[in-house]
Amino acid sequence: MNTLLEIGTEHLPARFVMPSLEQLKTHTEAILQEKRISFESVETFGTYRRLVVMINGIADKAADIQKEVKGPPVKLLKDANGKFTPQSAGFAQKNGISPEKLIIKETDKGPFIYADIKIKGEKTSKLLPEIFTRIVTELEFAKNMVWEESQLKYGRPIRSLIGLYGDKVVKFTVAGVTSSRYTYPMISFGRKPIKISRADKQEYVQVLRNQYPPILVLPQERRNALIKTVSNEAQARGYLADLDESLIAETVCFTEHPVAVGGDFELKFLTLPKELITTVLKKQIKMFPVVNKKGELQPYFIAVRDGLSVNQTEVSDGFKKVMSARLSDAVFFFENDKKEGLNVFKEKLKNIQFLEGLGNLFDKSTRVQQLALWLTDKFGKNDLKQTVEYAASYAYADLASHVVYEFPELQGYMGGQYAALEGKKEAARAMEEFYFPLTSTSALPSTEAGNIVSLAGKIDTLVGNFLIGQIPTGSEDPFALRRQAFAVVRILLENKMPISIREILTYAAKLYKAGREEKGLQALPEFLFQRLSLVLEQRGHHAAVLNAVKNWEEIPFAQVEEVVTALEQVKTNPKFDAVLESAKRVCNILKKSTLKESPVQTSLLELPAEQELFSVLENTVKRIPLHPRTQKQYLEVLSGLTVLKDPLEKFFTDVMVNVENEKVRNNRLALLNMTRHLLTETVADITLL
Amino acid sequence: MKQGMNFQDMIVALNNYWAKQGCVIVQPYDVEKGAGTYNPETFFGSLTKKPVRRAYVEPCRRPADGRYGENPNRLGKYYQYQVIMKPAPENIQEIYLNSLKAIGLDPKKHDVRWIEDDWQSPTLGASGVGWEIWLDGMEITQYTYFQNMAGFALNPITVEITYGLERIAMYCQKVDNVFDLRWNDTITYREVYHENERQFSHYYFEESNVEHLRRYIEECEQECYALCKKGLYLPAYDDAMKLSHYFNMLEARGAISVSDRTNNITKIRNLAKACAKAYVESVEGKKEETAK
Repeated sequence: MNTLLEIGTEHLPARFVMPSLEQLKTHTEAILQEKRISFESVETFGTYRRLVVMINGIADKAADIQKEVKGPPVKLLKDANGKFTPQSAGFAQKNGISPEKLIIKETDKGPFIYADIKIKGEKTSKLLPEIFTRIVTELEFAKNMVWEESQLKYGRPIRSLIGLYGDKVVKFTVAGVTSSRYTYPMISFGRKPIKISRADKQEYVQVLRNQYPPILVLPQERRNALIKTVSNEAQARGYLADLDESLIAETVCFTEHPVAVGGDFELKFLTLPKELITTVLKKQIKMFPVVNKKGELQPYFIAVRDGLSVNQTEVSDGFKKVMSARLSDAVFFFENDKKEGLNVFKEKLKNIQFLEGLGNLFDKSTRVQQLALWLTDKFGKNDLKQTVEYAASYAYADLASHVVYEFPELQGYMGGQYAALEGKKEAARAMEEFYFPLTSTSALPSTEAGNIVSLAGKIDTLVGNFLIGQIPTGSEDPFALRRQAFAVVRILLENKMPISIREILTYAAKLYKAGREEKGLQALPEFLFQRLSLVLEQRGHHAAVLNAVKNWEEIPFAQVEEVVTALEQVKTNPKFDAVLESAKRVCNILKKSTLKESPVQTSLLELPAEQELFSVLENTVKRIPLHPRTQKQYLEVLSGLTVLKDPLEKFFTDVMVNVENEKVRNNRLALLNMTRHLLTETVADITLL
Repeated sequence: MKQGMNFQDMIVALNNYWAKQGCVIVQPYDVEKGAGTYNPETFFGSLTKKPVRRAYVEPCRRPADGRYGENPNRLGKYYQYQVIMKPAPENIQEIYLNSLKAIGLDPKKHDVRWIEDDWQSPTLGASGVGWEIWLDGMEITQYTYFQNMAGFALNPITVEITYGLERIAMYCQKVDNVFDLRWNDTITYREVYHENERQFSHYYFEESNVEHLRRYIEECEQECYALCKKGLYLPAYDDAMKLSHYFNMLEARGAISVSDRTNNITKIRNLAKACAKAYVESVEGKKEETAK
């Protein structure tokens, strides 16, 4: 048998819909398990006005419980008069049986009283009212409200409930609403009840689909209908719709039957920057932009209405009027900005605080410019100097522009537009992409200069926040520092920038007139290390290998990755594994000794195994490159270490380290120390693998 | 052919419609205020358990929004139509949609969209949950279930529906300039209010006396607290409204710094709280007396 639960609400905010459906599914499954009711599957679907839970193949009763509960020792069963003692009677009562039903069982510790409990699982029909009530009331929303006497906290008011078990109504009441078998049409189309005869998905979906206007209760079906209606509308004009994914996802959650309505806007608006137009359309009035085959924006829009395609001309005129007003505002802001220009904005940055106690955004621009120029110098990129200098100097200027004040998501992009108007093409690109990468997988800035400036901005933000102790903890990360650190790692790594993170942080801290060892800053390397291991993982590495690269702060991240790759390769060599085991042993012995660093004296090497190990060590040190830089060299060094396998094993079999003779003992420790140096400090500390 | 209802017919239609829903149609309150929510009917009405149903036109003054009558969409004084119902009826959404029909807008023939928008007023210490309602993309109504007023958590809950009258009329009459609205079938909005807009813009932006305004603010604050102490919360609340208006006037004059702004908002919120407290105490105090 199946059950159907429909929660009819006033319009839920679009952002609540999908999380609610996911939550309803997992929570329903959890409740059923808790109640020991088996089922085939739980499905959830719905719209912003009705959330639906289907339980398919639900058992007609809960599973029985059968268990034996251990009680007190048997001597406490009855007293001298043959009456049950308070202990045994109490035990029986606690377990819901009469004392006569108690049984005795042998255990290792002698005979004990047991209660043999059998509970018959209740009928599903009896349990469903409580289960439905819990499914409805325990749903959590990002933001709640109250609206009626019981003061239930919910996303929006509940106005109807369907509870069906097969073809029977499951009666329950939440927030003053009692369940029935009736749902209702779209709110603008009256309140005539729609009867649902039984808990059957196909039937329910079809009944709603047959309404006028149809209600498409399955999100996927609604999505398909939306894409189709919007695409058709664009095609009718010979163009394509810009089917922005986040706008589609949002629109699916604020419609029950999406119908496209197209219109045009005045050509003069097309002189605005493209992203500005599409932001107004998508974000402010939730319309789809229209493009030609080349992707060029056209003076058309496609709005989506919920309901029918009647009276389209008047509705389209309404949307057009609203859009013209919004685009006129955008023109007004943009024209004002053009009059002022980047220099004026930059002056205004003096009035915008960066961080409490760390000055304003003008100061930040100055630091970022210094840092970016220093990096350019370090990389020997003199040809980029002018571009970097300009882009870094004005990277934050657009934050003081009218357009970015109105549309914060256009930060960076608008700066690029204003720089382009001043003829700074190269810098414009860098400024446009200053906030890149926008997500953990999206593109980095596309130019060298852009990467340098973007890196400088992010490093400065991280250093500043850590300096004042604004360090992300748990889910608290209001300044998205994790994302910024992730971006820093990606920029350094993917561009193979030839500089270590330590060197950058030291310089960046100096610009704040702080030392790298300043209190808050001490946590920054570890914070970056975590992002580095995430990035490496994303690139297909075993992040744990990174632990062995002790000098990760002192070499460029691209080199760190090469060491990691080399380590991963050499690890597959069984010989290397054996060396690794010996290396751990070497370190353990040394940990227990108090030996000071001292050279090995060949004259004191008594046994052949000692002598052999020493000569192999010496040879290896001579053979391997002193400062490996490339992955090939790393691999060469690491593979080279495998020659130590046999000598080390022989050493541990034949040689006793802790002998009476102090000179010999210390010399052997010195030999082990030499081994340790080679194994843990040449490329990576392999004992940490 | 003339399109849509004229402005005064629209108000008459809304009055008739909401009267039928059991609302007391009250007249605008005669103290300047920035929004219909400030009206004592709504402010006090949302507090305590007493059921309330009111509807009224409310003139709103937004000194900084004045444009000397030269902007087709912006006004320093305009009209809201305000409905409050406590407790909120179960079919209130439907009741609201039918009110649109009453002014000639059939929801079946338009796109009526309910966009999440949780209203709040830091100056009143008030917040609610609800939507702004878009008709074919244009915002025509703010619809709110109040949750808090003057710092008091509310129960029962009041629903507040606020119509932007000029905007709706512009839509219905298909005009692009607010001053072209037909007030009745012979007189336009321009004839009724244009000169008013022009003069008040001059006054708010150029002529108002900053020193006087600052003094009024101080006087209002003192008197408000003094009246609250005596349980005269109604005149006390007038002072709070006036103070809020003088503050808005100072802002229009550009005489308010960022910190000034925060201080004044806190000042008004505290006055609103004091008035609400005096009211709640008097109502609940009376109840206790009758119980004895």
